[in-house]
Amino acid sequence: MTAENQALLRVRDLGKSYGGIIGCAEVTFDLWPGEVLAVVGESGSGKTTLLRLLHGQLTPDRGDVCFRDRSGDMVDVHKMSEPARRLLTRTDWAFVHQNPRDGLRMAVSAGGNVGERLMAIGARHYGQIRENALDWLARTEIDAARIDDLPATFSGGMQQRLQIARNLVTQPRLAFMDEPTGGLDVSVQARLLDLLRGLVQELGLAAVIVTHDLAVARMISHRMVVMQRGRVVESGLTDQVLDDPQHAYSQLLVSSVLRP
Amino acid sequence: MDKTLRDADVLRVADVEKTFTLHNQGGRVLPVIQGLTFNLAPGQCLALRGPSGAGKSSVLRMIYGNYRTPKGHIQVRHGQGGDGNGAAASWVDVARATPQEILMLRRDTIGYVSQFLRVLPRVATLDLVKDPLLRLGRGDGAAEERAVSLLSRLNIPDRLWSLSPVTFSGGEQQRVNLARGFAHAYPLFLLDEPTAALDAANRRVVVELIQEAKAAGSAVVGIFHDTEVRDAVSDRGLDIEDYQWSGAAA
Repeated sequence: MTAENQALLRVRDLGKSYGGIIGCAEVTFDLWPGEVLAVVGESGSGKTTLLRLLHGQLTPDRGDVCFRDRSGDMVDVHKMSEPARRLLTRTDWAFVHQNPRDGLRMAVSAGGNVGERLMAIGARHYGQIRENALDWLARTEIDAARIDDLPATFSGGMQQRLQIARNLVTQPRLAFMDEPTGGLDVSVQARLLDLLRGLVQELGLAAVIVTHDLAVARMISHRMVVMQRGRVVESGLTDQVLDDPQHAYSQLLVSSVLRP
Repeated sequence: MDKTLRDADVLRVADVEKTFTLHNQGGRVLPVIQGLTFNLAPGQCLALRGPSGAGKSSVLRMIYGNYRTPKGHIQVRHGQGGDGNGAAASWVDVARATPQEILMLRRDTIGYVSQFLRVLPRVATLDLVKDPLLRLGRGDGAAEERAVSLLSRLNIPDRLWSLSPVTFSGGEQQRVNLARGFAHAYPLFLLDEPTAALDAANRRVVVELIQEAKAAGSAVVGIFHDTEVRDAVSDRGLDIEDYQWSGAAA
């Protein structure tokens, strides 16, 4: 069996409660290389808790999350050492926050934001780092002339594209995205989505994308899980879940969308 | 995957049943079909017939894996042996396939053309048509050549090729959709009223495309409201009403 036929991320019976309240319970799925999984549900359904558990920012009460590293071994995200996990988050993983201010260093130039992740994994040659940063600014459609500007001078859409450049420069194999188009105008959303779709396809990137926007999920994901009160109530091919939803809550979600 | 089906068919539908349950409308159950069974060989075209609402489109969507198939089997032959990668043909039951298997079928084996183009913002028409070929690993040059040839035949003026079809007319969008759908010689085509918004000249082009695909060995399941088109392309018909839900299990 080649790596292509093996799960990149394996999640089993994942659960987390806050006091007596369920954050997320009994979540089980596999994510394949190059596959984009959308996690949908309304606010408070446990989407973001799940994403943080997968990324290791939160510790689960039960269950486990295993990731296939570059040598082909499955490593338990919650049992590895903190330095090992931090290295993973800087190299093989990307995390795109809804608010770009949470994922960018606002006091560092655009080029610095992109170069920093390269330096964190040992790049030292200034010229090469800058060249790499320029390449990623171009790929995320940011004018090269803005390389020395601070992100605070960028529009929201540009900041979000910069956050994506910063995350993808190390060529991660897995990206976690929390409402990546959430705070953007609709016209800017379309551009970002199209960019993300192209990059995911080009890089063969796998991704878990949390969104409450079903149109975003349809456009960018292969597979979908629907969450309600911390549990996965339905999962399947994205267009299948959207066009032939089986669970009462999925049907409610789909039928509640206003189509322009 | 089941490797025991060895005959020459492309598609074998057996005892398929479908209902929709509307949980938020008092759990109402909408029956669609029951006991649907047919086989299809390469080069054959089957026309689904019946009044609007009888479930013709639902059948196409189930074969494509867009709607779930709660009961019965939809076996699709995947891999022709002669597709260059040397893989032997195997059967995939869409009713039970994993999402990964269905995506693989859609990439290699099943082409689906609906009346409507689901438009992605910002993607140029030419790239939209090339996309299925690039996904199959074809070279950019070959993909472009095929896309240019189809767009030209379907009378999409070349000044539009670099634009996203978002603002195109309904007929233009349908022709872009057809160009994209016919870019690859899928072993199985599912066509849902492919000529609905077209004028006579473009209808003739679509008839030619379907006839060429059949001559090259593709099988077709189609819904054709235009009787002239249906008579020109289909080898046999199937009345969906013969499989209407009778209430009791078959």
